[in-house]
Amino acid sequence: MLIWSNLKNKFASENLLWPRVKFTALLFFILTLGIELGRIGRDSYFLTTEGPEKIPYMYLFMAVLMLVASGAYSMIVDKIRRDIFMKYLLASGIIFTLVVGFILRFKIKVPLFPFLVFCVVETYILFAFMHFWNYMNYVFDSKEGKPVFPLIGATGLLATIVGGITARVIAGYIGANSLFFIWSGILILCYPLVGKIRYIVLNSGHTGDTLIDLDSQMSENKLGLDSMAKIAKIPLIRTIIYMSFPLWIIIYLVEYNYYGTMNRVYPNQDELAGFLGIFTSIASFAGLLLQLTVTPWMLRVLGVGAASMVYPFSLTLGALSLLLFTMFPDALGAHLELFGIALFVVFARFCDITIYYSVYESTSQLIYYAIPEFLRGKSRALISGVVMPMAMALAGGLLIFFEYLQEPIYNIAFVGLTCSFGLLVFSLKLTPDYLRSMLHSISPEDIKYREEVQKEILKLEASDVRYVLLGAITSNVKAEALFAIEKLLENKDDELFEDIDEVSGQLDLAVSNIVLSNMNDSEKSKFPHLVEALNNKLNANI
Amino acid sequence: MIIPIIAFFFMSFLIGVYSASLIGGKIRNYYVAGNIIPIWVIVLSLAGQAIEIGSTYENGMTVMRDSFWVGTLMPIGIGVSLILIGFFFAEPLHKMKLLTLPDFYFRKYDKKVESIVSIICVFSFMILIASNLVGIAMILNYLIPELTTSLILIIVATLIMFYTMAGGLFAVTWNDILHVGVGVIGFIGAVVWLYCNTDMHELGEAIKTKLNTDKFTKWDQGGLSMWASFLALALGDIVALDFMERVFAAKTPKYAKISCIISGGLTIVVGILLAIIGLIASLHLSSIPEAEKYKFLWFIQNKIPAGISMLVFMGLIGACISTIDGAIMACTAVITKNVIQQNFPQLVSKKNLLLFSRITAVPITIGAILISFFNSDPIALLIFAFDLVFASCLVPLVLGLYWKKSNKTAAFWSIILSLTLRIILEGIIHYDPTWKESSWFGAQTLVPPIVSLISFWFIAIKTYQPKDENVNLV
Repeated sequence: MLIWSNLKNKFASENLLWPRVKFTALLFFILTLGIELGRIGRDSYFLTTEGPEKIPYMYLFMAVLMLVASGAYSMIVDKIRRDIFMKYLLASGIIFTLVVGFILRFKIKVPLFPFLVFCVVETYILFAFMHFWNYMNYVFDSKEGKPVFPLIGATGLLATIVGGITARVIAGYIGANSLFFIWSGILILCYPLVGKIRYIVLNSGHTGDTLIDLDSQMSENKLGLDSMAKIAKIPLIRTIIYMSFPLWIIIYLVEYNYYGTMNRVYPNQDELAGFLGIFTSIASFAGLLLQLTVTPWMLRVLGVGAASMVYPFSLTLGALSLLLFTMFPDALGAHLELFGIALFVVFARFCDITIYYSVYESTSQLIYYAIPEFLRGKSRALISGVVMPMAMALAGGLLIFFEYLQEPIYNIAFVGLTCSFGLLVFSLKLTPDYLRSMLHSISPEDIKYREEVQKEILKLEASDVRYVLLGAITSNVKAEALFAIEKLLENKDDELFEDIDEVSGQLDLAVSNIVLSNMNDSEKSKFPHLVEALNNKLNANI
Repeated sequence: MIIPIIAFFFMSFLIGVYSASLIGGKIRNYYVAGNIIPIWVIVLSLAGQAIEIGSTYENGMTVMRDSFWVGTLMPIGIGVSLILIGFFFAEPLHKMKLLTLPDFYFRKYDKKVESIVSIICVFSFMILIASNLVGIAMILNYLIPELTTSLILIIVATLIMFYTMAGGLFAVTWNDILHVGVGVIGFIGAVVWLYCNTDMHELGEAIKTKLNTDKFTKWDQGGLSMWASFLALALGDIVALDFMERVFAAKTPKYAKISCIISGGLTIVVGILLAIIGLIASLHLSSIPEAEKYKFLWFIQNKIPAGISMLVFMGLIGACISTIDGAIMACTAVITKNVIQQNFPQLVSKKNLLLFSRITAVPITIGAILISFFNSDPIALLIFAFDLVFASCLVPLVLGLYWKKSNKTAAFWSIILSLTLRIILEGIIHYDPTWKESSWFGAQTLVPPIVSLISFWFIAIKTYQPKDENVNLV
């Protein structure tokens, strides 16, 4: 009760923030609970009918399916209201789970059914989460998102813990296949919640990026959106794309090795399932603790960009742990003890899922606030629906290729380590790209938030500050351009004027004036082209 | 082993392509990564340059069949040079805001001295690249016998050249970290495993034998030659273009100094790790097939668990790659900035400077490949590479920085005299190979720098003018 009232006080505001937080957190809890139960049902069904060695093929199939589905998603995401789309998604989930439940219940023979179930369930989970967070970007604005998203993420982790425990009980009493019926029931429960959230948002008087503005946003979309290729040119999106490939390869390499190793630790299927359930609960609990303590602290103190670096570091640690495991001669043995070198693999998986479902999920949702509003949905679709499936397909293809070559585990682990290094290198640009994009995305009237972002920019390394500010001096927002040029001129050198020279044609009049008045005679003689360009601009205006 | 090798090269290539976007068309980003590299990156990157074929494979192999100190001569020599750079050169040179080392010779002396030093340094570095290309070709030929060393050499050189051309110092620096990191993990893993699985009594006996210092203390056992090689590395490497490039890329002079000292220590530690592997390998010499050409590599592949063995191989390969890429990078910068831009300013416009710099990597690489075809002894190449700069460029650098009476005439003539003497001495050795067996072998390395010092001092005293003291270095 104390926690409840603390949260209520924390999120008390004029815009009905607390009711919005309360009901969206509940929606996420229920949605995740259903997904967790469904996932366990799907896994147990697939593993008992097809075996774990077929999983790399599933990565490939899922990728194709996700590509097709994402195409459809990006075509309709901006044409339908987010809440209505959420309802459609829930309805399709209910129908699908019921159909699967009945087919399994009545043992109807459907060719390739386990493969179909695996792929569709995974794709559905992906899109359910993707659209949920997309929907959240309209229920909360970027300022509200920072404290709220970690809380929503925490409810998801709580649901995973509850789901892991209850799934075992349900499967034990009424059979694992009945989990699909339970999932469909849970999806039905989500329905009224979506309606309730819509009702609260409409009555909140909230002026952020909410559903109220959707009509006008849709008309903007028609003007601004060209293609996926255009979105991929945004520096932040480009960095995320670069990161996505090594990221998903490491995730799947770790997962594949985890299942393979645990299979050697627990050759018995029931024991294996028991361990997997307990491990998921422990990892989710650790994630929950992180979500409630470390994530909010990181977002508050380090900012979104820096917090996004945690997952790449954690994955690198996981890849390193996997590599250390393979350095032991026993790693190639047919049987392993859990409390021995196998713990390296468990730790690798722990590094992945604990951080993924806590720090990473919250921060990666906040990253999208840096994308201009009218491109946000499409950007999310590009990353989650196109880049991610492609990366998954690549990871699946690699694993199949390694299987075909009968590549030893240490070589596979080494590939993971090189990928994690690439991931680290690519992710170094994430924070400056995020802040650069964020500065462009803030509305000109939101002075307070702009100042917050500017403060965050000044905390970066000097080279990154310069990178971000150089991008801002050509901004259409005068305050942004003036701030950037003033800060840049505080540490002026020849290289700065060289850089400004390159964009002199795009500078605002006031910015041009400031640059010119800050150049001494020697600098003016060194950069005659810049001086001429600035003078021409000023004279033309006179 | 093919998959890890492909992964290694592919990631290096990908980082190169990615780094190209960070350069943003700016030449200073290409040369010195915008002077932004933090201390830990500089440390690992310097170590990446310092840990090469001599400090790794040749070191292990030498300890396996000879003394511990003969093997570790190379890593200790290079490590000491980094420590010396840290204590005496990094701070003052960084404060001068240079882009390349020959910039110093221009600022202190003149364009003529700068150009000569540039040409000597580039040639020396082409030999260094060749040395490491030979090394990597040997290792890969052992792993993939289906490919000839010549073919491997060309493929590897081309791949490294492409990612260096694309990503400049950004790519080279990040790749160095990957290569050094993998090597350090593998070498430590191997030492720990071997230590735990070796008979302590046998090991103790081997240590006693291997720590013999006769080769350094006894004239008739080649003492002069050993000290000459050590000094060529420890002092000659001070004039290393790649080390200095990283010194200039550091954020502050203090960072540059600390990075050099730490990376010098790291280089020595890594060298000692490899020497320990070589020492333990010597206990297994009798079990290695007599006909086996690469006994050290055979030992790593057959006597160490497969996972660790793979990492050690990757570490050995990485050590060569990280030196090659940095050396190519340093040479392109010097040719473009100190030779072409300085002497033929009309030849390349400012707009095309970056493109020109990138293209310069092609002749550098081809030149190195040709040298490696001509001489396939990596150690001879390595020591000769630093021998050249030790003979001619070291004295003008040290005295230029610390002696106010140093001047351009002294620098010019001391370089010409010592270089000529070094080439003549090399010719004599080439003409009469029995020199190599003589107790005086090594004099060809030690005499030219002494001549350089004496001639520099004498000419500087004779041609000294008070205005020489007023050269503004910063």
